[in-house]
Amino acid sequence: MPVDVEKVVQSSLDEAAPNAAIALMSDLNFYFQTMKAVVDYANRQNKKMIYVTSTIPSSVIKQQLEAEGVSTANLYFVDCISFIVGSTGGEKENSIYIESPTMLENIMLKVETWLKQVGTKGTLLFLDSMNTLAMHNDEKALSEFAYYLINSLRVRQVMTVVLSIHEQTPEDLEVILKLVCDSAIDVKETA
Amino acid sequence: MAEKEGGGESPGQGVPRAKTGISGLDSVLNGGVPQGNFVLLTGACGTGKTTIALEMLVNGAKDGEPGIFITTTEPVERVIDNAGTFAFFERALVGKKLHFVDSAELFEELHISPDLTDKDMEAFLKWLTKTVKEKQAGRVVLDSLTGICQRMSKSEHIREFSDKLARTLSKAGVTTIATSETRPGEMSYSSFGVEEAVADGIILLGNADSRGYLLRTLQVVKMRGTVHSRARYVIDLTSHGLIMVPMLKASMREG
Repeated sequence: MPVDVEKVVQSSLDEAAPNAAIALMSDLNFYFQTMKAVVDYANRQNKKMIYVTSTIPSSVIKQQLEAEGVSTANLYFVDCISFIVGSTGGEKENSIYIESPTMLENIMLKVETWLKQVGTKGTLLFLDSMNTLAMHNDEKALSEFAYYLINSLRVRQVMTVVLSIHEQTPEDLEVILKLVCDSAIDVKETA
Repeated sequence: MAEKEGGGESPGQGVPRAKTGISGLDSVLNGGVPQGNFVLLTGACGTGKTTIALEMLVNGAKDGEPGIFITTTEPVERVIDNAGTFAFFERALVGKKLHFVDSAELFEELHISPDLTDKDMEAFLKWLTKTVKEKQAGRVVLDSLTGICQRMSKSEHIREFSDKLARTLSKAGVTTIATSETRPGEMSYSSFGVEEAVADGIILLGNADSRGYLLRTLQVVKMRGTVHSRARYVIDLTSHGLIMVPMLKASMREG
């Protein structure tokens, strides 16, 4: 059955506690719609969003969202991919670049940097995506990273949304996500 | 301002704290540096000693606790100009709650000889006691202790000076951050190997190689008067001040 991605994502996030951690397990075909639905949710709730991207450069994400009429004014990027593909193009407002997605501590530090600037109240962290981080990091490191990041945000009332693409998420990673997140939502067509 | 530590049955309970104002660090120290401690902030060149010491002093001043920054390495104007690049710094506090002193000018004024004799030490400590009282300072930063100790030829003198300095300031109830230079890659806490013996606390700054990248690190090695974490943290010196997160065990294994 076709799935209404926006409805699935919105209702999951609407029902979640303000400091919840939600894993969105999306089909590859729904990647953009899922990502857009999370940004739409943050905009509608007037939340500031710290967007950790290891999948697509932040400049491209901004272009894609703006082309769809989605505001990116409240997005604060931690961009782990532009540097290695040589597309940082100097300092940009609302983007902090990390040299490599293997620098997990640096991702944590840059999330803290944004939190120090935008505050924790009403802030949402969006991790896009766990499966690409898994391409660059071993399971133990990623598991430790996810535990620390999500729990440190949880105690400060920051909501975390972790995106992972079904087809590219190893089973072990799925287990980690289900362990550290309060709920795991499937965004896929049903039989 | 120094505050009483919260509940719990841990050692140091009820000891007044000089909060650093750096959220991760205050958590590591279980509420802040015990008031009156003489703390060595130690590390190689470029590890962030001056910035962290300055942030602690400024945060104290913002909280109503006046502070004195004694620089031995660069002129006061340069220290203030550099401080101005950080969002935590408030220039309006200078001369009111924040006092900057250039040791070279001070030593000239006090007629202190280049090799710091016993008489010179006494003159400096007398000036310090008087100034702390006048300014009602609760915190002092000495940046760096190494810069002063370099003037002394014998390790006995260095130890004696460090000991007298720590005692004088502790007696006055002042929390002191004394920066100390170490050589890169060297596993020591001070330049001369004696300063750490008199310190109540040692905060070690360094670098760690993790998966081909160099991370800045911070570790509280000792801190009298409080329980504290001895774990190594990864730090970032941003325009908004020090940010720290735990070092992942995976990085320690692979580093």
